[in-house]
Amino acid sequence: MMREPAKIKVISLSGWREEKLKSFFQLECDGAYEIISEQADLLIADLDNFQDHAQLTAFTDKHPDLPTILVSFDTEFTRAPQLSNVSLLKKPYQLNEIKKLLASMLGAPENQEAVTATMALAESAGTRAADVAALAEAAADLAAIESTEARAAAEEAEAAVASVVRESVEVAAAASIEGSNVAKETADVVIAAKIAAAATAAASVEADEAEAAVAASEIASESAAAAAEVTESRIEVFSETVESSLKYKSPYPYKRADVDLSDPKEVEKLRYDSSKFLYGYLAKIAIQDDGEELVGLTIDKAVFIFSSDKKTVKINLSDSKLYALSSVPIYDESANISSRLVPWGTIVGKEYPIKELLWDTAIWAARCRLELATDLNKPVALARWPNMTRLRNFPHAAQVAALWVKQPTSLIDTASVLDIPQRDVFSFYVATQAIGESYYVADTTKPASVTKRKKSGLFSRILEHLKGTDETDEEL
Amino acid sequence: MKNYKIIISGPVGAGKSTAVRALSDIDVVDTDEIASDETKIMKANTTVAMDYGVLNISDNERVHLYGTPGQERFDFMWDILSQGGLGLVLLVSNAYPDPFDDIRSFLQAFGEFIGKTSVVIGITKTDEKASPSIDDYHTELGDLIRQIPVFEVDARDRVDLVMLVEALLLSLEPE
Ligand SMILES: Nc1nc2c(ncn2[C@@H]2O[C@H](COP(=O)(O)OP(=O)(O)O)[C@@H](O)[C@H]2O)c(=O)[nH]1
Ligand SMILES: [Mg+2]
Repeated sequence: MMREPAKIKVISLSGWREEKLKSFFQLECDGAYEIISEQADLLIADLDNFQDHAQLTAFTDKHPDLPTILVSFDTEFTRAPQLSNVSLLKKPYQLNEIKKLLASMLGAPENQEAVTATMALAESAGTRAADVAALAEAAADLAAIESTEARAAAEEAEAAVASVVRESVEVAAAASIEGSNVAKETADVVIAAKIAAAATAAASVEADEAEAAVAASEIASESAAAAAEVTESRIEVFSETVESSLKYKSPYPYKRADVDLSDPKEVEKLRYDSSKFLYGYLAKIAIQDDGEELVGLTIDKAVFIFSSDKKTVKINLSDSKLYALSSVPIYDESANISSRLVPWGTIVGKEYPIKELLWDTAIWAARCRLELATDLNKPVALARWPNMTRLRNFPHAAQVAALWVKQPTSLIDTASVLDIPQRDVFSFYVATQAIGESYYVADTTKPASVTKRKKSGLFSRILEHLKGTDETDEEL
Repeated sequence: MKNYKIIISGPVGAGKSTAVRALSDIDVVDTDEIASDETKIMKANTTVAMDYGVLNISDNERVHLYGTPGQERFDFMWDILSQGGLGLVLLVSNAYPDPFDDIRSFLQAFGEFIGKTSVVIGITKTDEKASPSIDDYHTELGDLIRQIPVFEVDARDRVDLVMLVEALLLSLEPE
């Protein structure tokens, strides 16, 4: 005999997530649960929806003992109300995780079929959907990182306000003691107060951004789950998602951890095929000889027109859209290469020097991974210093450049000699390959022994001084 | 107190005074003389003497910034300037008739100093005149600049200058 379905109340779950949960309960849990608003057996609530937070706390105040599942991007669950029987679930989560929690909190439903819903859905939709899902999840990660960073920035800004206020109090005190300096010190206080006001404003902007980023995470993770039902058109939706909500601030948001590069399996996981990405299409056109004709590449609504000397590309995308489009694999059917006979001057679009475009799109496609053909052990040399002031800068790029210009060094050795994260070495390699300024040299030139370079304290102090204290990460 | 020096040189009007001003912790000491007729023609109110700025790194470390036009009559000063030298920032204006030749002659004039320290090249005013490109510089000058950081910079943009100084320091052999 079927048991009565357990009654689940939901608060703050986006409509889409709620729909998904409803069908999941019916199809994958044999109707063991149903969503209901009154007299629930269990509550599922989303902590990231700031507007509904009051509604949530009003409810939990009344029902502190109701079994509750709280979901959030915030790994600390700082906004979680005090409850006696609560499970915390980090986003993005799989519906199966909800199922497990329900079973443990309410007792297992009679019919226990372990169906991995997400996998089943992804399988039925094919690898393409899975690809997009992975990328959308990556976007969720990015958004989550953004949100954390924004919060950190807000905290820093607050700390800055506090310290500026402290300083101005001190300055004021000094001013009252030293009569002769009163005028000057007062001016300093005024300046300090102005700085404090600016810092306060900055803090509140950052806080807003944190909220926006949380919302972005939400949307991005939804696209992850939805990906199973979607084909190419999703790519456009995906880029819209990033565009509309993920504040385009950090074009190098990567935190990929170092792996054991002596383990072939770990290395295999880092491989990607650059020809599948926007970068691959652009690189192909950049080297082909099209005579005097302008060549255009269209991908859905995105348009790239190459000047006839191939040195400049006009693009109809914002930076954030370009970033999004660069990060997802492109499928041949959606890409269209054609010759254009319109005069260059009549084309409207943002002009991107080809090297800057290849550099950016290569980094964004790679996301700190390695192209299929990359050899980790062959020494890499730089033909020359790249034009670093005009190419997108990222951590440790200049250090790797300085090394490779003078001493060809393999990717593996570069990370250990300079004592920097592998991800930045990989990105620099991918970027300089893209602009044709790095190359392998014969193994024989490899230094007999690679010793760690001594960091020069003076040089890093000079750079800290020039860049300000918040960039002390950059070591020499 | 340990004293270090960075020399900023290049043709008149390339952006030396602007660069020293952008980097220095103190108000730049202006030692402008009355320009010679020749330099007057190239740029009104230019530096013919020296710009001086300083970076106060710590209680006992200081980096002095000297902007020198490198005209021949200042030859005698270069010896003094190079003691404790970290390197040369060479600024060259892309808007001038022969920036390739400017680079050749300045690299030669500072040859000894560069040999002991290091050098970076900033190509200024590419916003006023886009050609030659950085690629053209490498094609034209080849091995002469192969290992030298050559970046487009705007002397009014501190971020560009800091990148240039970073490359200068990274190009020095580590101790
Ligand atoms: N448009 C443009 N102007 C620049 C650039 N760099 C410097 N300048 C300007 O060029 C002029 C000459 O610079 P200055 O520092 O006096 O040159 P110096 O003779 O080498 O000391 C100043 O007005 C600067 O603001 C640049 O990259 N672009
Ligand atoms: Mg000057």
